[in-house]
Amino acid sequence: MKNKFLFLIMFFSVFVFSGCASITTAMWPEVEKEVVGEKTIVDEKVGYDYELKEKNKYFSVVGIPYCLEKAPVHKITKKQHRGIVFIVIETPVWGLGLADWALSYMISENSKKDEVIGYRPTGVKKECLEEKGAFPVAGSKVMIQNPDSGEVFWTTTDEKGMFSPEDVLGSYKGARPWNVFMNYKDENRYLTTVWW
Amino acid sequence: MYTKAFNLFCFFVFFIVFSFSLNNVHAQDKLKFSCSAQIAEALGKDVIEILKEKKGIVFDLKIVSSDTALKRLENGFSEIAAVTLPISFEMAEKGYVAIPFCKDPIVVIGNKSAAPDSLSYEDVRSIFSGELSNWSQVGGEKMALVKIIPCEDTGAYKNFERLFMGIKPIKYDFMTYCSVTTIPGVGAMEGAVSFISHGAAVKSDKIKIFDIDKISPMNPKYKYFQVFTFVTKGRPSDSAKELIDVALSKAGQDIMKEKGMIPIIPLD
Repeated sequence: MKNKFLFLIMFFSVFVFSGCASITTAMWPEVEKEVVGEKTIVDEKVGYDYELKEKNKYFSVVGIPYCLEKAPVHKITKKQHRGIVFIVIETPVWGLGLADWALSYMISENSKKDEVIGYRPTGVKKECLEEKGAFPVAGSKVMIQNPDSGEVFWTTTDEKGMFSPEDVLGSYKGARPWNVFMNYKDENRYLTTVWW
Repeated sequence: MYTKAFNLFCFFVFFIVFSFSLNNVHAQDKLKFSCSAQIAEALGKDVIEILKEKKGIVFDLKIVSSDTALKRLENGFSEIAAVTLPISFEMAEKGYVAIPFCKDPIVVIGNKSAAPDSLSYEDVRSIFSGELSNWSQVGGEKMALVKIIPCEDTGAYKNFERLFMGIKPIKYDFMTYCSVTTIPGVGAMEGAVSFISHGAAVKSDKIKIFDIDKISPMNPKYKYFQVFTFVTKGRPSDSAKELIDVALSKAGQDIMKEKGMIPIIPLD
């Protein structure tokens, strides 16, 4: 009785499930998703990055034009590979599942459409391709902060973009960290942290 | 036999449903940011919105206590942390960078039901050390004082203990895991009292913010402040720098001033 029941299940399953994976894959609507690609581009210049460099006993502020790295956003539409479970049932009976699997895979792959719909910033700054090279930032306001007390000291860079930390922090000699910022229009830019 | 057949049928149904629900997931690069709950409530979420809009930076934001935020940074689970505690000299020597960017008053808050308008410094100490048990003892209605405090790992607890309590131990009726959870707790419970950052408390209309010694937290003479600090392991990455710059920019400082906070790095 038990064997008969199993035989009936297997026998009917061959008819019920044969080709089901291919049919369900073909009939299923395409799935749409947006994927950020790996092949990045360097976009137009968006601003200047500022760096603090140490030379002898002086610090100098230099500006470097930077561009944003952007990654393509791909819109991928594809029929998903469906009905794997039917293949599992078909295969041990007559081996038809393998052909069904190959066909459904082919249907899925052939339906794939890849379209670039735009570019998204990756958050990484890159050197621009057209405007290159660093330049001294002259006459800029620089703030030096003691991170322990929060106290802020102000100074201004000379025509070479340089300033002497000793003139500003003379009374604070000793190895300790200092945060250096630059004031630019309506913004404060964090430059770096130095031990001085 | 029918049970077995039924089980077999259930297995197939489950398998079919499971196989249909499989989809690919694409992970994007994100700035891993651990933020103290007080800072997130007072400032962080607004600053993050500006960054998302202007720079397209995506965040993996984790809101935790200051202590946990520092530990996550130390263990490499975040690139930048915003905390309400100063870092130790040992951490600075190891190469952690601390950038204090804002001062925010720490305020005592109470349920509107029984609370007076002002408390003295000594009243606050007596309330939280358990010496006082009724609002009538500090000029309020006759109602029991219910002390709700944030847990000991939070910056709010440590700063309150340092600024108000000194060596007096804090006694409480309820303790919350997250510092900002005290706000809805105080709002909902009659006679409740707690403490929190002003920037986080100012949004709620169900609580009362007390003046201390008749000085409002918005008054420049108010003495009890906690400092909000960005911390990074080594020098900040480009995207962490962007976060710092936005917090220091005019837009960031306008948000701070609107909520009664004081920017540490002035614009001019």
